[in-house]
Amino acid sequence: MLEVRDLNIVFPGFALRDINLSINKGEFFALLGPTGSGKTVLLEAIAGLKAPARGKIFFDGRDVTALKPEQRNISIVYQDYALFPHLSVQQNIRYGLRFRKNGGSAQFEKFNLLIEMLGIAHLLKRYSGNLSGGEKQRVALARALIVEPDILLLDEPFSALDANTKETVQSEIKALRGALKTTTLMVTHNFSEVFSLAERVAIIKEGTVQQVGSTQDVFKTPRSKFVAEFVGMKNIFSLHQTNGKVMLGDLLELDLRELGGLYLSRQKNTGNGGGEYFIGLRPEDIVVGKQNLQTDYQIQGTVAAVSNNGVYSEVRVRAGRLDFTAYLTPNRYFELGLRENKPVRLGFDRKNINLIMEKATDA
Amino acid sequence: MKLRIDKLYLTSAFFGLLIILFIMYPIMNSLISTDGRILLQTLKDREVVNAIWTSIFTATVTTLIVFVFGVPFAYFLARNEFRGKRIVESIIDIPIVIPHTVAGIILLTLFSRQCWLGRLLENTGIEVIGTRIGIVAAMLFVSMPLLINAAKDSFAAISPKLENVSRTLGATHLQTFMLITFSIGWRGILTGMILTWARSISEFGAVVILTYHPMIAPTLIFDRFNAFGLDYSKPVSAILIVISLIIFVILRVIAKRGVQDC
Repeated sequence: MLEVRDLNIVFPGFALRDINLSINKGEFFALLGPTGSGKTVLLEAIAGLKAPARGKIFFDGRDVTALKPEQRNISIVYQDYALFPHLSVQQNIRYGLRFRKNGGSAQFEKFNLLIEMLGIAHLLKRYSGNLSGGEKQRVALARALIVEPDILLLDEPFSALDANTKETVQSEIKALRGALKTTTLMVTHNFSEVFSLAERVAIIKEGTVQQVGSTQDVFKTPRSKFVAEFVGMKNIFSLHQTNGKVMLGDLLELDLRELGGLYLSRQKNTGNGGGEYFIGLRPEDIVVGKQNLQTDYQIQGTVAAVSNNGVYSEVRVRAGRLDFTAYLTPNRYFELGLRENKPVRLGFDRKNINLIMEKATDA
Repeated sequence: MKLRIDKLYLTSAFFGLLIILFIMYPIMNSLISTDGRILLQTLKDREVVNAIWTSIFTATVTTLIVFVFGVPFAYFLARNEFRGKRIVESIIDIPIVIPHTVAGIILLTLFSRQCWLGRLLENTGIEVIGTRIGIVAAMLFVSMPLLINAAKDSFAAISPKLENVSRTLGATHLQTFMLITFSIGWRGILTGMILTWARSISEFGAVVILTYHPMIAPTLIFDRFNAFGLDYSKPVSAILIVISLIIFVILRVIAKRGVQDC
């Protein structure tokens, strides 16, 4: 198990502050955050490549904070692969073995398994300059895994790949993980990669962890506005109360029951100085139609914009002063025949409403 | 089809031709105009052979010394940011801007009895002025920046991520430097070594002030020119040009081959 305890790393103009993470053995864990949030620095600190100002890192209960990178048995795969340009693919993959004392036949078997699983046997004599992005990625993975690391660190592993290659490499990583059970920590700014691969995720922003949880939980119930926006919860609206009623904009009273009760009691206790409350709705949880909808809430609005990326359609609906975003399947979109400035109904269920409290200092 | 000629390129190429002529014509003219009989005599001249050998030997020793001390320092500079780094880099470049005779004077002052270092060396039996050590000291002073800067640029061009990966795969820092950083950057370092060697073998101003005897080839050429005139200095020049060019070309070919191999 990997445990990061109160880790602080300070650079001029940037700092990672009080990072606490716990990653189980064999788990695929993701660190998700925007560019410049400190994800790679944290990854490199875990690998022993950056020294923390404070805090500890433990592997299986063993304090490794003071250990050098070569003493940690961690492999890292960078976004740009970092293949050694003066070595052939075979030499790249076998590079780490020269520093290991493992038996020769075991290494040979491992080598064969990896090149077979990754389909790179035909590349062995080539140099990195003659490889495509996907091939480089596979070689980098093989090089990282052949040394049987306790933890595999992936730094934005798919950001330089085209969509098709990305999908293929993701499948290969899944298959490799199934076979090798290596604890993996992936850094990315793309939630879809997290959703596709990771079991749990930590959201990081400006050097601090915002939320940690299972991928599903973070996806469905983000605890802050930032996390909600980052995981694609496009409908985030401020709540206010009028005459003891919880109002969404000035057009809908929400019967939030437990959530609403919590909201009202907190408002009472803290007043406006205690923070701001929002609700978040995922665009795929909003139903769009022309007539009455079978949802807990319905709002009449006007189609403000429609866009189609071939996989799904994004519809923006203006209702009062609020802009809602909903995703529709192409079939549903054509069935409804939505046009800009035409009236439309949208609806959502109570169970899909996510209450978010934003502290006053963050707002 | 009408051939389109870019006027800017044409002008630039013409200027380039002038530059090439300016470099090559005097060299070729010097080689061609040298009297063959005197050239043969010069080749048998013990003093000439010794001077050329001294030049090659001291330039090579200088290059090796800069390699041993300069390459690790260049690596340090390429991989670390620290307060005052700009000042350190500027200090390294100072020998480039100091006139070489001035460099000779300041080294002479340092190694003479006027300075504590000169007295210390003399007391320990190390003679610098008027020895090969003096020649190497003068060559070191003027040529050191070339290798250090070339090596620094070469290391800086190598992504630290390669080193990070190597370290996490189990290599120590030194192993990583040898197997990755140096192995990738050696062409840049070799280029720096060629420049250092070339600068050293062509050095005159600093050397002549610190060590007139034993003579290096440029000192001998100057000496013969003063004593016997152009006809007797030209053959030595021609021999030095040929030897320097041969070594220069061999090293450049090695460096070029390295680029193709990678």
